[in-house]
Amino acid sequence: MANAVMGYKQSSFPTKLAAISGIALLIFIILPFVFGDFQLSLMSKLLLFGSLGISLDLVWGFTGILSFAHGVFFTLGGYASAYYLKLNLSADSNTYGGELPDFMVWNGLETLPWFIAPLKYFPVALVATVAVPALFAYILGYFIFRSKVSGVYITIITLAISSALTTFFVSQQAYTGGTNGITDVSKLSFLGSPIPPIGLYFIILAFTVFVLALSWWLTQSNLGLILRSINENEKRIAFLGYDVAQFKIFIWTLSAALAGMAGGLFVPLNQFISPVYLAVAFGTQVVIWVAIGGRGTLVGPLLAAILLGQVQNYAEKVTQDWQLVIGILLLVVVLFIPNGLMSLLPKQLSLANLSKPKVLQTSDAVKN
Amino acid sequence: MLAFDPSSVFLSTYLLAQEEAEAVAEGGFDIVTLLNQALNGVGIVGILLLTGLGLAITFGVMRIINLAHGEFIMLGAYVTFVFQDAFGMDLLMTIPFAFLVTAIIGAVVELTIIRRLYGNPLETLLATWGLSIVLQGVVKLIFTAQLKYVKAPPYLSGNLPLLSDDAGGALISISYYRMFIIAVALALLGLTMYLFYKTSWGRQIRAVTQNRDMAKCLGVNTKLVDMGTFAYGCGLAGVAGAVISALKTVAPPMGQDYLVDAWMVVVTGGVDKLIGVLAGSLLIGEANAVIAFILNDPTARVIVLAAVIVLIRYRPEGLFTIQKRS
Amino acid sequence: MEAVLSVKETKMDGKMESVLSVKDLNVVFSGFKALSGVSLDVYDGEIVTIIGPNGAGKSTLLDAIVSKSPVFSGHIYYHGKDITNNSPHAIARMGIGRKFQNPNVYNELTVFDNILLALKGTHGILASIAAKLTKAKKGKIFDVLSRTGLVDQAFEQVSSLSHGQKQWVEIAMVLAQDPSIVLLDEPTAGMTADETYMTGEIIKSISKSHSVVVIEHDMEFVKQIAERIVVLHQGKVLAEGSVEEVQSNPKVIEVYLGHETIKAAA
Repeated sequence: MANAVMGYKQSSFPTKLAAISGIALLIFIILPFVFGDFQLSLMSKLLLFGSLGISLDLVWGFTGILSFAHGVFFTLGGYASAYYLKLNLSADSNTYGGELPDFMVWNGLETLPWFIAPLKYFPVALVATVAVPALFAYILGYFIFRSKVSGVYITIITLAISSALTTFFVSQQAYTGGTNGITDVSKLSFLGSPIPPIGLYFIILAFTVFVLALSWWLTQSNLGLILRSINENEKRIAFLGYDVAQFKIFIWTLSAALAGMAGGLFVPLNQFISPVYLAVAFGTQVVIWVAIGGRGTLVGPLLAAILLGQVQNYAEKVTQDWQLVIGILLLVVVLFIPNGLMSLLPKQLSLANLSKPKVLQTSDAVKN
Repeated sequence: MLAFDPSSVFLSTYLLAQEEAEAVAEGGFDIVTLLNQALNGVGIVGILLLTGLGLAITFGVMRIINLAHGEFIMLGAYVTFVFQDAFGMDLLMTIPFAFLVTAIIGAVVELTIIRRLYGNPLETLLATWGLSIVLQGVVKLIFTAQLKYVKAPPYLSGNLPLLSDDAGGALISISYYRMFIIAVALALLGLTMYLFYKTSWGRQIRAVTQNRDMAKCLGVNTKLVDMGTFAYGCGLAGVAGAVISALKTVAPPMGQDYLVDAWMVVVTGGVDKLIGVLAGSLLIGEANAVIAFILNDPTARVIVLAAVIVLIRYRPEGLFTIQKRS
Repeated sequence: MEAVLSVKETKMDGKMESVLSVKDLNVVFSGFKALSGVSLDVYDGEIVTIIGPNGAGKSTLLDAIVSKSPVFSGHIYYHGKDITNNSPHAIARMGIGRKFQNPNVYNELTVFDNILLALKGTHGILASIAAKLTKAKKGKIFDVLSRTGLVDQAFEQVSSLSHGQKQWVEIAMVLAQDPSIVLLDEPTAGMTADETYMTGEIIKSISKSHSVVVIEHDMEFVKQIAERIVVLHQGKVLAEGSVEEVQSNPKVIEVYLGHETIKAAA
């Protein structure tokens, strides 16, 4: 399965991969002109969920750290973006006409808290959507990866984090809007005019391409080789001179930053954010996309998120028990298709195979 | 999306106690509120002990990462509901059935899912999580998402007054049902410890967990021991569900609330000795009650969760070792 | 404290400075003394062979040197610098390479990638992202592979190799690290006689440019490579010297060679 060249940059251009990516991108560019409003918004959402799945794939599929906390990073980015949009509501669309968001008024706040106020400005909010989840992940990562704790314990810690933050956000009603979260936010504007849904779709598509390309580029480099080695045997690689914790913290923080960006884009689309996305149930969804799509495939989680989202959309018209389907699917994948749906594709179509350049066949390499 | 219910066993029991406390504390005795809160803590300890005990078997003894533990509690509660609803059975009488049904389901789960994944904790975690979703879905399919109510036996209702004011009204009291929960929890703990440390079945279990190959050579049917032990752990969860069903409403997602708490208890208490689950319940239950008294309940929960995370971080080997099963 | 003083004394005496110096080392596992008061010096370009019965503490000694097991007391000096209980990756970067008892290699990767991973050089994050597979690097990798006879298997997945070949992959990895001292834990375990002999020759060629510490059971092999032998017994150094010296040492004969001499003489 693992090909000979995972570990370094190619000297030749992977033509087949480029062709397939090009066609796929073209389809995604044409789609919005075919879609109705509902599908446009649904696909935008699914692309973001797919990006979130890719970010989890970096830490789970490649590095072997199973996290149920990626919904948390997503949501932290989402709240940063939600505060920005909420604080930029025009006075007459705000329930109380003033500057203060409605939920703060309900909970008896009289002034805007100092730590929320700066989010009114776009550059601050933009930085915050990335920096808040990344910083949180960095501190958490520093705390858990520089210790003897590993494997299942890390996963259980991520479950506890998700549970604790959910409770915390629900309880801090005055600052977070409690269970309802932050609703009725303004639309994202560019130069004073609101961005139409199709504009948002293309921003999100560009973001998805960015996440996929970045992740692919990183995992094709020596870094990818190191991450996969950490996954297979993290103790051994330390004796080759690598600081395992440093690599884990890096990929964990990067992944959280990407998840946070996805969350930041999710709010203008979804028009609200709430602790539902902090909860373990949503974190599980992300895990399921990666498990079903195929760990360590990058494209797999994206396709799984889109596929499951579309099926769910139609299934929910027929049945109320979509969750049951998801649970059965997860069980089947774990028990029978541990490498996910991507592993069912013909071998020639695997990402690893497509990105393999011809130049390094054994004979050539030996001659070098 | 799964149903989202941020409340927890702490929250509900706390609110219950809050009402009681407010009702009795009008005399203005702060000490009374404090004592009531401490008693409330004892009530939580009982629930934690009861719900944690099954996990102390499946995770503590067998080292199986079982995220479907909460659903076995839920199943136990539904068994009680069904028997009470259909035959008008007393809650106490339904307990053996709750044990039996959940134990059988547990055995089937071990046979079809867990067994394939021994030695692979992360996959087990994923599979049991999937199982948890499936069990919730199936129960919802059969019973709908509607809340169900289970009646406590009449002879266990009411409160035992411990301290009365001049007019004869109870200042400090503990409900009979809560005492019943503690009694059941302690009895089950005692029974389980007896089974594990004094019987040949217990010796076989310990032999298998300590050295599987050796146990096999000595003629222990390790597969049967695995299945039996897992089924027993699930059965205990079922009993917990049956007993707790009268405290709260019964609904498909109810197990999720208990899952996190049960895990915290087992992790805090340590997995090496069964008695650790009692220590964990006491520590978490009382810490939660005291912090909730000083601050408020959600804060208490966040603090306790954070403390558990720190605990895992610094004492993974003592409290939280997983031996690879081969 | 004593250990520190003794090192200073050696330096003042003007003796040859050792590459690796272990002073009065104690390693304790939950009350059990795995190593007690072990001292050992390894000099530039020599092969030190450690022998001893099972449980003598041979692997534990290597574990303590690379910080796999924590040192309870005593010191380990590398080129005069105290490295006791430093982090494993820091010790590896300084130039101490370790091969484990069971081949500890990456089965999911190719032989080439295993070596690439081990290659001396940058171990940072940004460096690993920016790293390019230069001709020089490829040359170095194939140099190491040809020294260990693995060129034909370069692009095979390690999981498909024989046990003996996996041992060589790990030796090749240690070589790619270009350490100044190579620690080999039972490099010939599970090898055929021919493979064992070849491994001996590889080790001899390694010792031309590196100091080598080898743990070994097979006395035939020990005779092939040994320059200086250290005998460990129950966590202590029992004897030290050439093959002949050790074999004629009455203490060694009593506790260890008693049954092994037969094998060695055969």
